[in-house]
Amino acid sequence: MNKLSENNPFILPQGQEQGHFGQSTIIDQLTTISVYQEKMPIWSLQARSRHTFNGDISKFYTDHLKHIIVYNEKKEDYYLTGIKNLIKKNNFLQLSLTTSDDSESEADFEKEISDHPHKYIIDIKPLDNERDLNIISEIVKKIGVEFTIDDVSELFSVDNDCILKIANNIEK
Amino acid sequence: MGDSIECEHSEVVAKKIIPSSPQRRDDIGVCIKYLCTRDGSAEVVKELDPKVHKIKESSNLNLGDCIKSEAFFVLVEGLRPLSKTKLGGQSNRHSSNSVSPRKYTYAEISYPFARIMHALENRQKEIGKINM
Repeated sequence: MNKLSENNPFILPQGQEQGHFGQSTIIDQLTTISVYQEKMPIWSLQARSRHTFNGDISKFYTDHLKHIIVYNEKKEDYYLTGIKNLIKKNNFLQLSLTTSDDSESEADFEKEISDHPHKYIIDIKPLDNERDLNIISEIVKKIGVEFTIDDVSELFSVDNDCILKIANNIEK
Repeated sequence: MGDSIECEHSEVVAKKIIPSSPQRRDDIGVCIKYLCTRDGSAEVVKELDPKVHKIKESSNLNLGDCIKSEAFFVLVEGLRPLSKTKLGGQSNRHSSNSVSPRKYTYAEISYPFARIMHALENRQKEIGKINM
């Protein structure tokens, strides 16, 4: 393990990318970058780069790769949240259909949800960054359904008002 | 005027009022979301006490304040289902449904998410232009 890997156990670069390149240096070499998770290599890539580059090449690549990995992990989280919330909605609608209007049924309905919250209740959490909204927007675009903002809030467990606040800041 | 109301007791009318999901929120706790579509309105029948918004700063809080829309959603505190009352009309096609939650209610007009997507796409294009 080298120094960089100690600072950043998630991404461990190997070989040439360790060097520091001054201003106007032309890099023309094969660079291997391996990505590790919990000290096990998960994938590596080789790239032939020819750029004028100023700075530490290892940081340039590792930061970029880290961004890609975190972005994809977040995206996977939102896909899973969406599927789980659809299952909860389905459970709730089935329960609603089997509940009649009398007060006894209404009490049973309330009890069933209170006793099994993980089966029915969707947790709505605040959203405070544009990156996550971009990920959600990307998924919504791929689904291809015309959602309302509150549909998206419900599907991905994010607060409706937070979505509007981020959008208003962008539009300013 | 904002596009939402918050109150202690409301009157909600729409041709379709459909339960959507139970939710747990940091601001109001557990509630049930309803979707209201076609000729709908939600009115403040009893004001909040204290009269302070819980979800959205721009919400209308005064007695008689009302939102009207073809599509809006309602959050009603608690998990008890609302009993619907039919209003007017001889058939389902012409009648409306009414619910009167006697609990904290939040109602807000629904807007398409496409608006957000366009704003984000325009932002990405702007960032792209700056980086070019």
